[in-house]
Amino acid sequence: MKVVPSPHVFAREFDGELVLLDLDGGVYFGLDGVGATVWRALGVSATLEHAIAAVVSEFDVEEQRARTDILALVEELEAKGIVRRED
Amino acid sequence: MSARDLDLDAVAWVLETKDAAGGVSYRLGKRGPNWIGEWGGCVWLEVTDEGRRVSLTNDGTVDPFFLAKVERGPVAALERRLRGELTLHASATSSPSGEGLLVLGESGAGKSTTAAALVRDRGHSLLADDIAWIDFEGDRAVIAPTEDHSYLSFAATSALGLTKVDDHVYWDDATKCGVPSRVAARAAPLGAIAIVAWASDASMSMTTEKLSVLDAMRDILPHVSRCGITTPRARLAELDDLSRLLGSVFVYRVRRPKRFEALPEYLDTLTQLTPRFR
Repeated sequence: MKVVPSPHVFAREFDGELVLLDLDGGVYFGLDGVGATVWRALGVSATLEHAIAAVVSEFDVEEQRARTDILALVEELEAKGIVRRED
Repeated sequence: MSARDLDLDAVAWVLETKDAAGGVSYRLGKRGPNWIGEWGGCVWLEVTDEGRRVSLTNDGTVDPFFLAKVERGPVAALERRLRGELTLHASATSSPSGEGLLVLGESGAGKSTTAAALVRDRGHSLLADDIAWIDFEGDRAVIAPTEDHSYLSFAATSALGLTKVDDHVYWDDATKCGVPSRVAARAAPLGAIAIVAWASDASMSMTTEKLSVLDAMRDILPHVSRCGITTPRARLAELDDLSRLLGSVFVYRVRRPKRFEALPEYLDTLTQLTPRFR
């Protein structure tokens, strides 16, 4: 599954935490820990599998658990227009 | 100059802000390529899209004290926003050793009173009373001195034993007065940001909490002076400047009990926050 960040969203990072600004709506979002890792991974390769691999390698978490959590995060980000899913 | 001379009929207004009494306190519009800002129906700024001033006029009835405050405050905020510079609704002081302390809070949280008390009791000098200009020298945020008066409620003025100057009425708020203050001689590098609020109960003790970057961002955003300018360029500049700001200083939430006797402890708490450069 491809997970494509919106071209209208810009990110700035501090101490591992990310602040995202959606220029379309002028709305800010914050991502920390796993969320920040997912966002960085999607910037390298916009696929769910790449994000899962990045989280599994960075955090002490099983792949299935990571997949469930990341899918929930992606759904939340998609509802806010920050990413778009393509099957 | 009258509204007719300014050809306000040719302005396409895009934003209107009303005061508590229902009057229009601020309007923003476009006339040709330029922006027109109007305050109180009596002060008008024409400014280019890049934030260069074309003209600042008034209807001839405006109190000079009021006019100076408007120019240093909302007029400057609009010009700065268009130039991509960060401006916050905040008061600010410079400590005796020259570190800037920025004080943010909801309306009524006591930002101006805090600054006035720091000047009176802790040797600080005033930088900003309501509108703080945040500029950068390298990665270090600095605050320019922009005010020579605090603007306080009569109650706060009396409680602090300060003396008002004349009877200037700013907007239609007759409950506050201008109080001359010791002014910082130069811009101060920002040492800390305090977001101040009242404790829910006057009997509670003071609390100080260092905020995470995300919490700090969330708490500072409502205090960014955007003046209705929401272009992508302005928003990106805001994100960049907030990032630099939060990368250079720590942000603290200070809750204090609503008791005048708590003032010395509150001022001690604030003065101990600087310098805390990251």
